[in-house]
Amino acid sequence: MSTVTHQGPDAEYEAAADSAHHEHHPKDTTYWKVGLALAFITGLEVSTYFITDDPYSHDLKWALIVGLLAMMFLKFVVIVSYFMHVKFDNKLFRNVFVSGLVLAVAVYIAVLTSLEFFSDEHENPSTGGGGDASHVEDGA
Amino acid sequence: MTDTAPAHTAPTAGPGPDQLDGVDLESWGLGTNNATGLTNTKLGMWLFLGSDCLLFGALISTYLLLRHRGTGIGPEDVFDIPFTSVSSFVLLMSSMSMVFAVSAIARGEDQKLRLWLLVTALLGGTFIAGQVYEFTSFYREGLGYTTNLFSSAFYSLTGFHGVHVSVGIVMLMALFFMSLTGRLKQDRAEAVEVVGLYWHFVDIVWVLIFTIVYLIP
Repeated sequence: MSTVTHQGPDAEYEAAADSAHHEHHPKDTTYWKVGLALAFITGLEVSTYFITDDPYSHDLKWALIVGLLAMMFLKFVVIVSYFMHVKFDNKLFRNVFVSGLVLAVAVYIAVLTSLEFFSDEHENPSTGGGGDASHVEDGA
Repeated sequence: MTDTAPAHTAPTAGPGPDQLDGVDLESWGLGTNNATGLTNTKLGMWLFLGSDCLLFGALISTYLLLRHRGTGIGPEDVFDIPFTSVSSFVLLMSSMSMVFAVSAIARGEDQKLRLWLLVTALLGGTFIAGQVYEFTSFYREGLGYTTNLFSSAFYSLTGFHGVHVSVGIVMLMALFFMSLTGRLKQDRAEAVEVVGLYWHFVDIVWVLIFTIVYLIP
């Protein structure tokens, strides 16, 4: 019988394999709490729609946008951290996913910027028809 | 080191690259990467999800660029926020039932696994039914796929997401029937976890779509 012991790279392999298969996942009660928190945030998001009959012309337009984006980001992070176990799993998984995400965000912000999405001209296109743009305000 | 010795003549004290807890992972297609010690299946799913960010990034960007470029019916004319909010809540809850399914198989509770898989699939099916209803009502209001730039971008984005949810439901039902026939036991918990990753990704994409497409004025 061979008595091979795992040292050096083998020991690292075992440690990685161990962390991959025996990571400490949260208990079900934690999932319930996270689920309730997500439901609460979703309720807050939806409530912003009812603040005014015409959110497009409301003075709080930009406050609503920033608030909604913040809540969206919070939900995203909570789901990825707890439900997808990124917080408890091997960091390589997180890095692989975040790489794709950061690349996507960077590429499409560049695309949107180059196509003048963030400028006032995008909101009021002078050519090509703006359609029914009565809801569009002047740039804030 | 005895790495050069043939594997069949040199049993080792620890698990080999494709042996964990006495389970032959390779025979299940769940072999481990020799460099990282992580399973290829899970790493492959994370790679796929990372690349899928680019797909949905393209669709969301296109929608943002085109939503006010069309003529005629616009988003404010057709969106039913209360209805879509309920759909979003249903999909969010399906993510929670999915983590309970992953927990159940990790504990070896087959009946609970099947229950939560079924609940998740049903919630996903409810979401899809809501999307079909939404598309149908939009179409009756005169918003076809080629009506204007907004409609094309909207249907492409939400339609692609709907296809992702549908594929997820197929995977969930496959796991359900595998469990029912005794082919999905605790030693294959990672298969459920990998499907769970896909399902949660579909959920977080909807979190983005719901806010960016429906809620932000």
